[in-house]
Amino acid sequence: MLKVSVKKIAGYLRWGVAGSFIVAAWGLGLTGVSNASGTYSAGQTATAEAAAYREECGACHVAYPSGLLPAASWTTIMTTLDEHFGENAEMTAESAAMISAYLTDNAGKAGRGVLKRIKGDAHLRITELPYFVRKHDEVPGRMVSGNKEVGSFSNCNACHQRAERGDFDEDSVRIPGYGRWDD
Amino acid sequence: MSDHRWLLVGLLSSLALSVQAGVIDQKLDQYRTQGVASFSTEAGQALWISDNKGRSCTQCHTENPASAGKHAKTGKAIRPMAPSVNPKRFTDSDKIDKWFLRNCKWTLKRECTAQEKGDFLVWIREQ
Amino acid sequence: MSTHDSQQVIKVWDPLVRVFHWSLALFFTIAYLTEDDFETVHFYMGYAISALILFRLLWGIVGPEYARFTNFVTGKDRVVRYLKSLLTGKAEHYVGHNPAGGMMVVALLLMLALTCFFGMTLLAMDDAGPLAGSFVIYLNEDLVEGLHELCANGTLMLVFIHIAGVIVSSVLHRENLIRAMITGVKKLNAGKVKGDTHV
Repeated sequence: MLKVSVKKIAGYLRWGVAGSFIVAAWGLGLTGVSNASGTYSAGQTATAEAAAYREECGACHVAYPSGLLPAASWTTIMTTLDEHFGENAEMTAESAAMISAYLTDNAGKAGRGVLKRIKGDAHLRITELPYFVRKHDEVPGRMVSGNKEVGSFSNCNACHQRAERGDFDEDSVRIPGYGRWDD
Repeated sequence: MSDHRWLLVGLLSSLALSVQAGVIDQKLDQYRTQGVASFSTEAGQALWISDNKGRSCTQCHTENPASAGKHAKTGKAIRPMAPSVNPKRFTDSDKIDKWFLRNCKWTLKRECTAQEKGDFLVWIREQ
Repeated sequence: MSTHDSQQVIKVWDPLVRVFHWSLALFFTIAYLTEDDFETVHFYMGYAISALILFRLLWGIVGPEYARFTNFVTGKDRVVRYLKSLLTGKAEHYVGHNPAGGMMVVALLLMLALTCFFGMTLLAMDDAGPLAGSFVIYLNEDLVEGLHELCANGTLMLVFIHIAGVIVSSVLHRENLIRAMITGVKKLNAGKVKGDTHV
């Protein structure tokens, strides 16, 4: 007959339970690291759909990376192309369908990254996203709206040299007429 | 030797021009089937510089189609429209249709008629 | 005492408390560095730290002697007395956490817990994380963000003080406290053990 005292069992138990907390902590930590991704998403860029997006929508402005708006916003934009921020951006139905699918499939997730704190509102202007506003609140007007080579914040690639790739890192910022952004 | 070279250049240019002319001619034929009798380069140019309640082609493309333009809102550079400067222009029928759709609707608040499209094309191909 | 005092090897820090300590240092460092740029990592570090805090609370109650809160959480008077003794050159020696160290443990756990709580509140406001849907989402978002940052930086400050304290104590007590937290043992001269104010 095994004579294992209650004390011993209690002993093993506390080590086991406490140990499992530590294991859980490491599990969480490793999960986070293995799912590491940058804050911005350009969506896949090599597909035919991505190319169509850049062709059709990159003619007048930078092809904004799909991760900068939630799916609902992209849908609204793609169904109101005749009134596209004061312009007409209509295209064939097939192109529109293909591009819509691409944008919504690769859209950003509300609450994450650039879409922090949007509370489910389907913003249509990237430049009005809370995250965007916060990130640019120290950029003086003379460098943007007062800058002939920039014009407005919606002209991302005027300053963000790697905008189309979804890389908006400060290191690759060069403001025309002013140079690098030193924070 | 130099004669042959010039002959080659001549052949290639006329080939290029004819390809281009090919697409534009196709469009003109298309418009003719829609009932247009004749086209006018003067009318085409007039359309280009016309002011439509504050909107005009020249706002983005400038008055001279051989110049580079700039999107009035986004600032994006627009390559020249004139085929003499930019031979790739007007070589893709779908693209011609698409930009007529977008830009006429913005500038004139309606689609251009087949007459207007033809007038424009016969004018621009000589620029 | 004679120069041939026997050395006693005392097991002070059990394996779990040591793993806890260094894991926490690592996770906090990563969390601090990944803020805003590597979101997913940052969030999960917060969760991991929360799990570690829960461990420490449990261990502080049922763990081995020197891990228990009863061993080192003392009143303010003891802390003051200890700090004063450092200045006189006759530093009080404790095998486990000295009173100042004990206070630091409490302060760090509290500050970290607040940081994690405010962080999870921010997530909840975007309808994510374990607090999503709870009452916290009605707090003022800018305020919570400010508090999260404040507590994170507060933790960092405590860490600096903690490191300074460890170095000072190590020098004054002539023992390598960092190594002790790795190996778990302290080598103490018999005289030291005998003259200990508190074991």
